[in-house]
This record gives sequence, C-alpha cells and structure tokens, in this order.
Amino acid sequence: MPEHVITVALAGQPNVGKSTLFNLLTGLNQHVGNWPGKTIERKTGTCHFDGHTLEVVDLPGTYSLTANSLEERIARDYIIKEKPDVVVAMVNAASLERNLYLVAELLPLPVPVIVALNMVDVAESEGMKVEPHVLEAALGVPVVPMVATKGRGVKLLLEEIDRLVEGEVDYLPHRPQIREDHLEVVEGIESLVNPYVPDPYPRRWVALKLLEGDAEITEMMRERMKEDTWQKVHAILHQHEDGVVAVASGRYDWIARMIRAALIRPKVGQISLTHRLDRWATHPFWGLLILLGIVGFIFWLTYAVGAPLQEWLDIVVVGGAADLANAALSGAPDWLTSLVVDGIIGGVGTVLTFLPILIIFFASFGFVEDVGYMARAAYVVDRFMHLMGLHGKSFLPLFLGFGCNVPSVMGARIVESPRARLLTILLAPLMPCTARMAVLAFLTPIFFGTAAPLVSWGMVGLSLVVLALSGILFHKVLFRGERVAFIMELPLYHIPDWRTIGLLILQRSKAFLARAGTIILVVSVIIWALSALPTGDIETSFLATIGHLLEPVGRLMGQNWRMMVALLASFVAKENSIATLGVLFSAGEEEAQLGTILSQTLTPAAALAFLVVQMLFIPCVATVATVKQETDSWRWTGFSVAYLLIISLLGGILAYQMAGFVG
Amino acid sequence: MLDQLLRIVTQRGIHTRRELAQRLDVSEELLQQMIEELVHMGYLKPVVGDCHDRCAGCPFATGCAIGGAGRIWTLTGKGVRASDVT
Ligand SMILES: Nc1nc2c(ncn2[C@@H]2O[C@H](COP(=O)(O)OP(=O)(O)OP(=O)(O)O)[C@@H](O)[C@H]2O)c(=O)[nH]1
Ligand SMILES: [Mg+2]
Repeated sequence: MPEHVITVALAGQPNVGKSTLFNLLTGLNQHVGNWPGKTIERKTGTCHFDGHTLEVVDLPGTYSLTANSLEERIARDYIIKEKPDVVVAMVNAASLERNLYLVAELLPLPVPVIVALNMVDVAESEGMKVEPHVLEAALGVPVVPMVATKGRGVKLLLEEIDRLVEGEVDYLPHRPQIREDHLEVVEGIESLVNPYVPDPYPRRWVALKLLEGDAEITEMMRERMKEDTWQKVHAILHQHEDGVVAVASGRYDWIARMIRAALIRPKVGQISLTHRLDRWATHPFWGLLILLGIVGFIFWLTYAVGAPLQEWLDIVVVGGAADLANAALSGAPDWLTSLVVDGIIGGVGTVLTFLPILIIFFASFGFVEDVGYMARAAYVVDRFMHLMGLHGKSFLPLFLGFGCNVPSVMGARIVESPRARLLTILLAPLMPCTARMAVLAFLTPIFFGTAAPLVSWGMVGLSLVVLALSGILFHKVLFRGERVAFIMELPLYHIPDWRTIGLLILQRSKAFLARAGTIILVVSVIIWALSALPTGDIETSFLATIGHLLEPVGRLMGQNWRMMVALLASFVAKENSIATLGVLFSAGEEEAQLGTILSQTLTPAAALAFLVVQMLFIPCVATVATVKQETDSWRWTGFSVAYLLIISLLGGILAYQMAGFVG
Repeated sequence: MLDQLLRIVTQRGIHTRRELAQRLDVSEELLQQMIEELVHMGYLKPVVGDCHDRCAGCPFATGCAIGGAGRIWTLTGKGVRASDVT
C-alpha cells in the first residue's frame, strides 16, 4: 500500500493548547523553522496512525483571520494556499464564545474543519457543560472533546481525521451567513470579481473580504482587475460602508446560535450575588426606592451619630475654648477678647464642630462608591435625567455634588456633548453639598427637634426637585433635545476596601480643615470687624447697615438682618452662614448657646424659609469660579448666579408665606 | 446582531451590558466581544479611557471616582450615522 501523507493544520486562538497537542502527536519527529520571510516560528512534525502518515503543522495562535497581524496573515495564507487536508480548529471549551469566532472564519475556507473541543476539564470545573454532540449537529462538522494535557480525546481526534479524509462522513458545515439584506450586495460583488479571483481563493470569500474592507484582499483585487470593473466594485463598497458590520453580524448570529444550542451554563441557583442584588438595585421602581433609602439612611446616620457629636463638640470644645480664651485674655483690651472669642472661636470654632458630620458623610458616600453601587444609581436615575435632556452619565458628576459642587462642575468634563455639559454645569450648584448639608444638620435640630431628619429630607428633596425642574426648563427653553446613548458595565459588587475609604475621608477632611483655617477664618474675622466697627455696638455697625439694606427682602421671608448677613456670607463658603451667626449672636450674649438663641429669634416658618434659601442660594465663590473656568463664559456664569439668586429668594418667600398660612 | 445592538443602543439613554445581553439573547461575554468589535470598527468608543486626560488639572482627580469601576461605552459619530441608516 503506498504511503498516504495527510497534512493537518492546527489552528486556534493563542493558548488553547495547540502546541500541547502538536507535541503529543509528533513527539520527537519535529522540525522547527521559520515561516518564509517571517520571524515567526514554523513547527511541523510527523505522526503515524493506522497506516497513515500525518504531517502536522502548528499554526500561530490567532483570534480571527482578518489579516490584522502577521500571525493572522500566516495562518490564512497557509490554509488558503497550501490547502491542508484537514484543519483542526482547537477551541477552549471554557471560553467557547470567544473561540468560535475563529471557527466562524475558518468554515468559509475551502478546507474541511474538525473542531477539537479542548480544556473540557477547565469548563467543567467552572460549572459549564458543552454538549459535543449537540455542538457537532449545530456546526455540521465533527467535534472531539479533549483534554490535551492528559492526552484525552487524541485517539478519537485521529480517528475523526481518518474518517473525514477517507470520505466516510459527509462534510456539510453550517457556515455563518451574511445578513439577508446584504446578500445581494455580496452576490453583486462576487459576479464582478469572478473572472479575476486568482486560483486558490474562493470567490465568495473574496467578495466577503472586500465588503469587510480587508486591506490585503482589496489590494490584491485592485491590482488584478481592470480599472473600470474595479471602479464598479469600489462604488458598491463605498455605498455599503457598513458592510463590515453586516459581515461580522453574520458571525455573531452564528456564534449565538451555536452557544444557545450547545452550552449549558451554571444553574440559575448559582447566579452570582451581583446578579441577584442587581435584580433589585436596577429595577425601575425598587431601584429608585433603594437609592432613596440609601441616601435617607446616610442622613439618618448623620443625625443619629453626627449631630450629638457636633453638639457635644460645640458645648465642650467651643465653649471650653471660649472660656479658656476669656480667662487667658482677662488683661487684654476688650476688642481683642471679642475678636478671639466672638470672631475666631465663634466663627471658625463653630464650623470646626461640623467635622464629625462631614466624616460620616464622606465615609458613607465613600462606602457606597467603593462597594460598586454608583453605576447602579446612575442607571436607575437615567430615566429622570432624560427628561432634562441629560443621561445617567451626567448623574455621576452631579452625584459628586453631594460632596462638593466644585468637583461636580469639573466632573461635567466627562460629558461629551457641549450642550449637555453646560446643562450639567448649570445644574450642579443645586446639588446639596456637604457644607450645605452640615448647615442643615446644624440648624434643623434646633428648630424642628425630632422632626429634623424629616425636614432635612424635605430640603434635600426640594433641592433635587428644583434641580429636575430647572433641568427640564433649560432643556426645553435653552437647548434643543439631543440624543445620547451609552452602554455601561455594572461592575461586580465587592467588599469595600477600608483603606481606600479611609484615604478618601482623610483627604476630604484635610480639605475641609484647610478651608476652615483660611477662607472661613478670614470671613469670620471680617464679619466680626464689620460687626464691631465703627462704634463697637453691633446694632449700629457697618454690618447692621448692610443687613438693614437687605431687610426688605428678608422681611418677605421672615428674616431679620442678621440672617440676611449670614446668607450673604455663605457666598464665600457655605459654612460661613453658621460662622456668621456664631459671630453675630455670640457678640454680647454671654454664655448662651447659639442654638438656644436662634430658636428664640426665629419662628419655624422663618427658619424653614431660611433653610430653603440656604439650600438653593448662589453657590460658594469657589464653585462660581469653577463655573466660569469650565464654561469659559461670563455670560453663563452670570446667568447661573442670577438664576439661583432668583430661584432661592422666590423659594424662601414662598416657603415663608405658605408655612405661615398653614400655621 | 451588531446592527441590532447599535440600534437598541441609540434608542434610549443608558443600557447595561446585562440588559443588552438579555435583549439579544446572548451571554454577557459574547456581548462584551461585540462591544469590543464595534469599538475596533469605530462605531463605539470607551468613555472612561479619555476621562483621565480630562481630569488632568482637576484638583479632585484623586478623590473623585467618576464612572466608578465599571466601564462605559458611547456611540461615535459613525455609530450614530450607522444606526440612522438601518
Ligand atoms: N487544564 C488544561 N490545560 C491545558 C489543556 N490543554 C493545554 N493546556 C495548557 O494550556 C497552556 C497553553 O497551551 P499551549 O499548547 O502552549 O497553547 P497554544 O495554543 O500552543 O498557545 P499559542 O502557541 O500561544 O497559540 C499550557 O499551559 C497547557 O499546559 C487542557 O486540556 N486542560
Ligand atoms: Mg503554541
């Protein structure tokens, strides 16, 4: 019997076990060289089986056959030009989707394919099960399950090769099909190129590659074709620029069909924790409820833990420091005592007592961020963002606004469209930042006692509602609707890393302390000076003059001039409201706590109005500066300030009048 | 399937990869593969990638976690045009 040499090419993506199989088959009968003109190793070897001699070629690992890389070109040129008797397409059973892409590209080539389903051991250990027979039926080509490292399935593979070469099995592969609507296009191209396609190349395949925009094949055909015929082809290609999508689409349809048929995934009971949690967290209704619940819980935590701490600090530390300063400065001039006790301790000291509240905020939001929840929040609110012509992605910078409006405005940079970016910037100052929250946390218990969390909730809710309404308004009036689209990956939930959160708290606390030591100190001293000059009596001070100017507006909201000054000072930094009140009310009134005084001077309706204005007021100067920097426009900056001023004052007046009306 | 994916993506705002996988009745892994292919073809582009340049000069860059850990992709101009045609 004459010796019958069968050439077998091993194709597959990198790392699927080609060389393992190659070594197993060829043992010591190997020859290592280079591919002609290339530096890539070419390994061939021989193997004897059942009276046949197999010449085995180990092709370089490739993800596809697009001629994007040298390896891909070598593999495809070899298969097309050398025409091996069989191509063994090795796939990793544990990553079947990815691996089938190459098979989808191999099947249209004029060489029979056998699929070696390798690494079934890995797939099994991951809970996946691939049914070889079902896959075989779906593909229409032989499938041999293998564990190459253990030599399992090798004999079966050799038998299949034998049967195929001997013509004992019908080879009827189910090849991927191009999308219906492009079929005619391909046929059109095919008939045009038909006479020019050089010999080993299949005509249909060349037509498909042209449609895909394959550089090598395009070049080859352009050189071979007559100019006018090529122009016809070129015109068709130009008209169907999306041909590449249609061709690749066909492959994905095909892969999806194979997978649906042959792959059994881990059972439903084993769906990861993330999936189960997300069924709630991304639900249109429950997801929203969860988001509200989380934000609500953070507030509750702030009140339950932060507020008492803040109060304690206020009494013990601020009170103690004031007593200490009073004692130490007993011999000093009155103005100096007043500056230190009323100005610095009353102002900066009071603001410093916010620290526990802020730390709880930073920790809570840091936790939520680090656990991986933020992407869900963005997804859940996306529907609402749309009403404003924004999308969930704008939610991310806005959400940062809970921390501070400055990064929020800056964060708008991640929004691509200039219009959506501007809109995000305009809305960002309406996010209740921690400084505002701290003011809220400080004032609400004073006025509303046990109802404080509820009122705070209401205030935050109000800010968000105003933000939403403003967004809708801006969208309708200032901007035309604009389409945006995103795909997001919901990252797996994970146990938060306490170091990351700790670092976040540290960084943000440091920033806060730096503010207290600079901007708030300066404003406290200025407010104190304005309240002491020129006479030393606050009622006739410069500050009183300024305050009285603002009083007419204030009266509509039930505010006295001191409250108006506090509001004004909050422009420099939101905490200055409290610092100012600390300075103004500690002046003259011995020993009494700021809280007690405040609750005596303001009616609940007026307090409510003050909170409303405070929440919606012009953002701090740092934010305004950032708005200017990011919009690069004084007009938009001015617009933002004016808009917020009007909205906040209207809100305050409305709140006062309505609260007064209700009682 | 890729064109179907593009069309769904343009319809309405944010889509999660999981939701898209369910709608196309494919695994999330295959969907990820399709996303990568569309990125390669220039119809989609990753968003988080260019955030780093944009965050340059922002003093909050270290403390801020815009986008979180999850990746985001958006349509390119080419992607929008393609989905308009189909
Ligand atoms: N568990 C398991 N591991 C395998 C199996 N087959 C191969 N491997 C391992 O997978 C790794 C990659 O195998 P190779 O044979 O080098 O893969 P390759 O396809 O030649 O890779 P490239 O040359 O990069 O394309 C090696 O560590 C093998 O030991 C298998 O069936 N099961
Ligand atoms: Mg190898």
